[in-house]
Amino acid sequence: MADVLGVFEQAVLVAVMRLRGDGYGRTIHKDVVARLNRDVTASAVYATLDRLEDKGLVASRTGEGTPQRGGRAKRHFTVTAAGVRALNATRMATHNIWRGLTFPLKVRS
Amino acid sequence: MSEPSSTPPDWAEALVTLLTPARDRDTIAGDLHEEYADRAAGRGRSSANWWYARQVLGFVRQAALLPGLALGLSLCGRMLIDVVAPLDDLASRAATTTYLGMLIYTLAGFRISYRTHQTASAAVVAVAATAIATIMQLTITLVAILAVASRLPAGSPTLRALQEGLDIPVIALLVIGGLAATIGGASGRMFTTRAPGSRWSMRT
Repeated sequence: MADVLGVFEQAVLVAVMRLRGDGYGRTIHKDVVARLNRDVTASAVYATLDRLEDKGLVASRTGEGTPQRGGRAKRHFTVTAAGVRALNATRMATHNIWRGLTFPLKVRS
Repeated sequence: MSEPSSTPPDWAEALVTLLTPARDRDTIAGDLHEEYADRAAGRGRSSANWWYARQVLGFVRQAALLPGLALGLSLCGRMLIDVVAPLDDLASRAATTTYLGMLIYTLAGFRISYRTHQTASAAVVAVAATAIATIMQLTITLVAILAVASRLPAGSPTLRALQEGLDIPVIALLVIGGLAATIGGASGRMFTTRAPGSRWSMRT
C-alpha cells in the first residue's frame, strides 16, 4: 500500500509534479507558498524534500550554477513512480473521506 | 558575479551555510541568493534583508527547537520539583539538572554537526537552544508567579522557589552548553552517511 501523505508533503510533492522535473528549491518554495496561501519558510520545504527523497518519493539531480545564484548549482527534483502512487493514494483517501458530503459544509444554527 | 547590492548580508549567508546539510549547502544558499537578488531588485534591499532574515530564523528554529524545548522542560521541571518539594540542600538536584542539560547540549551538537559536517554549527545551536529554554522558563515562571502571588504570603517557600526560577544562569548555560555541544559536534562531524537510508559509518 502506498504512503498517504500529510497536507504539507502533498503540497511539496504536487509542486514538484507541476514543475515537471524543472523544479528546484526556489521554484518549489514559491509554488507551495502560492498554493497554501500562507508564509512558509524555505527550511520547511527543504526538510520536506529531504524526507520525500528518503522515502523514495522524489529523486534529485544537480544542475549548473548561474551568476544570479553566485555561481552555485541548482538541485532539480522529479517525482518517482512511488511518488505518483503516493499522490494517487492520498487523493483517493481524501475522496473516500469526503464521499457523501457536499462541499462547502453548512453550519447548523 | 552579482552586483554587491543584490548579495545577501554576509552574516546571514554564514548562518545558512552553518545550518544546512553538507550535501545541500551550495544549492540552498544559491536558491536563497537568487530569490534575495530578485526581491532586492523589485522591492528594495530592506525588504529582501527582512525576507532573508526570516529564512535564516527558519533554519535556526529547525535546528534548535527540539533541544531548546528539551532544555526548557528540564529547567521548568526542576523548578516545579523545587516548588512542590522544597529542600534545604539542593546540590543533588542541581547536579542532576546540570548533567541532563549537558546531555541535551551534547546530543544537539552531535545531531546538527552530523548533518552539516561542521563543528561550529553546534555552537550556533547551543546559543539558540539556550535562548529558547530561557524564554520558555521565564514565561512559565512569570505566569505561575502572577497566578499564585495574590494567594500566598510574601516570603512563602513556594513563592521563593518560583522567584528563584527567574534567576536563570544564562552565562553558565552558554559556557557549559557551548562546550558540551562542541564536544558533541566534534563527534558528530566524525560520522557521515554514504547515501540516504544507509548505515552510519566513520568519516574518512
